[in-house]
Amino acid sequence: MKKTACVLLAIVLTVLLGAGAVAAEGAQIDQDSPDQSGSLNVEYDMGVAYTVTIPASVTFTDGEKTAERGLQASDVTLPEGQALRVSVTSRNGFQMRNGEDYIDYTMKVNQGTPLEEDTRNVLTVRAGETSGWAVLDFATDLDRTHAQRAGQYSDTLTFTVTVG
Amino acid sequence: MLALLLIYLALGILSGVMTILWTVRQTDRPETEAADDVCGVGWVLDPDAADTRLPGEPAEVEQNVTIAGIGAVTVPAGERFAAGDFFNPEENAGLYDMVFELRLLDGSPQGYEVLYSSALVSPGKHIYEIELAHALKTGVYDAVVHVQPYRMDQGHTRTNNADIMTALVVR
Repeated sequence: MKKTACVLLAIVLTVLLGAGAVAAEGAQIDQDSPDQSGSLNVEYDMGVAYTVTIPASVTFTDGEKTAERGLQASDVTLPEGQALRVSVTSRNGFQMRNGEDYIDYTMKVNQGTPLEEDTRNVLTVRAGETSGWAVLDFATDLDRTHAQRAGQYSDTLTFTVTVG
Repeated sequence: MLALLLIYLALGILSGVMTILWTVRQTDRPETEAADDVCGVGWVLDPDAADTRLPGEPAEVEQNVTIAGIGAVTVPAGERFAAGDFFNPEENAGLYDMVFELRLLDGSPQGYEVLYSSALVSPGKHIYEIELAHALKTGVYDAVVHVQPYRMDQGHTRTNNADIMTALVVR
């Protein structure tokens, strides 16, 4: 019994040794190969990745005419030399509308000057940085208001994310 | 004659006394009563009256929406099924569903053509394969994925939204 097991083990080992190493692209290395070493490429394609957190809404009331919201980019992975940029567009040109009536409001970024254009970059995260944030300050401008009717006045903001 | 004089004198003294008595009575009245009776006809200011009170309850701050980055969308030339990853992050659980719309920027008056629009995607769910409205020729096209969150309330009302600039790779 023992003798049989030893013979079998020897056969198995011989087969294994004779099989040789397999290099990349399926090349086989055995005792007759001129090159007794091989290489294997190990690769991982790290794609662009990020998460952006935007304000869902901003609500003003008679008692609250200002509001502060945060904008954040996190888990940012970018190619070298590139940057993630977030800009903001107002559907109504920073006016809350109800039919023909409107109430103006302003938005400042990081306590800067109010945005005068519909689209303006509000956040930049460069390659090598993993996160960034901006503080958005909203306020109604009652001196530039034309609101004759009761009801809800609203606007929609679109946050555009670009990598490049 | 003397009698008339005496009568006039008595009347004068009497009116003087009455005047003095009335004046004394006014100064003896409590200050509040004297001050409140501004009309002098018994009206008083209501002690419950207060300054203008603005709506006291502050507006509820709504939770922010988490938007996941979207890489290039790839599709074989001449085919309509494209691969991508449209994902509604777990952070929106209980708050927002999302609709994803793939727009091909084409310089038209609207600025884009809609190639694909999803239904509501729940938090934690992905869409990995989409069917385009039509096949495209080989090339790399500028595209945008319009991400529209919807509140999980009865009306499924819309919030602010995001445009993720990306590329549509056809090869």
